[in-house]
Amino acid sequence: MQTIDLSQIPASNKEEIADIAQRAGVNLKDCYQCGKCSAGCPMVEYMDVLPRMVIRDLQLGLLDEVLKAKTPWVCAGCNVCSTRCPQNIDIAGIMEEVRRASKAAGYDPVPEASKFEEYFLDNVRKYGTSREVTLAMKFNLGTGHLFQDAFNAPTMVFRGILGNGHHKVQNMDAVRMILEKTTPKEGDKA
Amino acid sequence: MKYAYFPGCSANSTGISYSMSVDYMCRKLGVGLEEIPDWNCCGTSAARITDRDMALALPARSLALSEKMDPELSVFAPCAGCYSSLKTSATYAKESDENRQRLEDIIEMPYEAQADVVNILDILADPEVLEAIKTNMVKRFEGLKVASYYGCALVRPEGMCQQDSTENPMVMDNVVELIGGTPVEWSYKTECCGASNHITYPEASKPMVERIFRNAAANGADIIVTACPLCWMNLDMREAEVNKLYNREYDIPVYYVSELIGAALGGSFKELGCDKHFRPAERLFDHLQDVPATDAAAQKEVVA
Repeated sequence: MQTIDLSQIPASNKEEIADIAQRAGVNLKDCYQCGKCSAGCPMVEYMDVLPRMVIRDLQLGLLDEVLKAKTPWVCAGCNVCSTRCPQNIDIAGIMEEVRRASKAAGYDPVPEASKFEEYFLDNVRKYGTSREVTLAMKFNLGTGHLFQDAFNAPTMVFRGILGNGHHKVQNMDAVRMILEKTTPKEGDKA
Repeated sequence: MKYAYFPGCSANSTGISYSMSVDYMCRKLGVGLEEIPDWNCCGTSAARITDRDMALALPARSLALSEKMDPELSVFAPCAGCYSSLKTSATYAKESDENRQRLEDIIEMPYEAQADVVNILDILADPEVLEAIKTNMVKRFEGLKVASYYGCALVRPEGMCQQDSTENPMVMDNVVELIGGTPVEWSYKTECCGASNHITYPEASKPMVERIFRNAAANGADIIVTACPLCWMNLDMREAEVNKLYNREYDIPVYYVSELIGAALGGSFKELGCDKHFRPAERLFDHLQDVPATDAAAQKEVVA
């Protein structure tokens, strides 16, 4: 067995990895691979790379492995991993930052997940709020899952679960300005 | 007691029973709610994954508007997702002047970040609120076993939410007991319901809902109570699907904790929005009994 010195990994993508860690407020070297994050993760059986291994790959400079993995896109953001980590590493925060970097690098390992976010923000851009029904319909049409959850629609209408009218933001310019200023631009660093 | 109120996008659609029952409960308890004028969507996970600044700035606009309305008021967001986004933004702004100014620059509004953001557990943990429930209760539950389901965003991350426990929170259990229900000890109190993965990855999310019902059933729960519109929808709307898919016969209605409290305070099935559930929700009211007048008077006296 060979000793690996984490400070000596000659990673060409060192900067990108440091950026992911810094944005998530994590020191990757804190992780000693106990695996508690992966043991408690409710989505783990559907992940291709264990949460523990995502951190390991980043420690080792294997950025591509992480960017093309489904794991960060399958993560439900429940924060169990971050809460139980004995080293206080925000693993869920790392997952969010890896998703962002994965998207910026042009990977799309779970297209449904990236589409959902896109449509969600379209709604916010248009109305300043999220409209669940518009969102669900757009999602079904946009991803080809035409009848997903559609059988619940009659109940929703009949029981009045859809309510009566939405909150409409008056100052839409203010909301759009925030979105405009904070949407990553083409060519932004991954 | 008064709060700035952030209803959130689901308040008038899938979370309508929640907003109706929170409104009823607060009116009966003398908790004032003043809606933040022109609030906007908190951005939730979609913003978080797109850009950290977006996720911080979208809630910051609503927080700044709340401050403009009344800087003294804490912001109450009943939806667990909204609470999480708003609280993250406020926490970030409180961390340093540099952070706060960074948000001011993005939203182009003054934001002092003095006010706190609270969820319904924070309100229900307040001794004054518990006292008000005790005094104003006209009915109590009898023989109703209740599994309190907290989910994720109300209790995690730990440092931000600061609830009594991240693994075994008791705030809802204690309120349930106060209004006559029997809290059930169970293992899935803080397990994730699957959140928006039910839309993006349904085959991975259905088992999560099934496990929650299975554990609640195994521990003898008659009903589940939640304090999150997304948890409520994923459980109430998907119970029938899960039964069909896994050949189960779970028969556990899912309520908001505010519906239970509202019912104890005298709210009717319709007033509390219980008619707007996916699964029949009448059962709750079969377990309600009048608080004997002498008891009520005695309770009032004790408080006075």
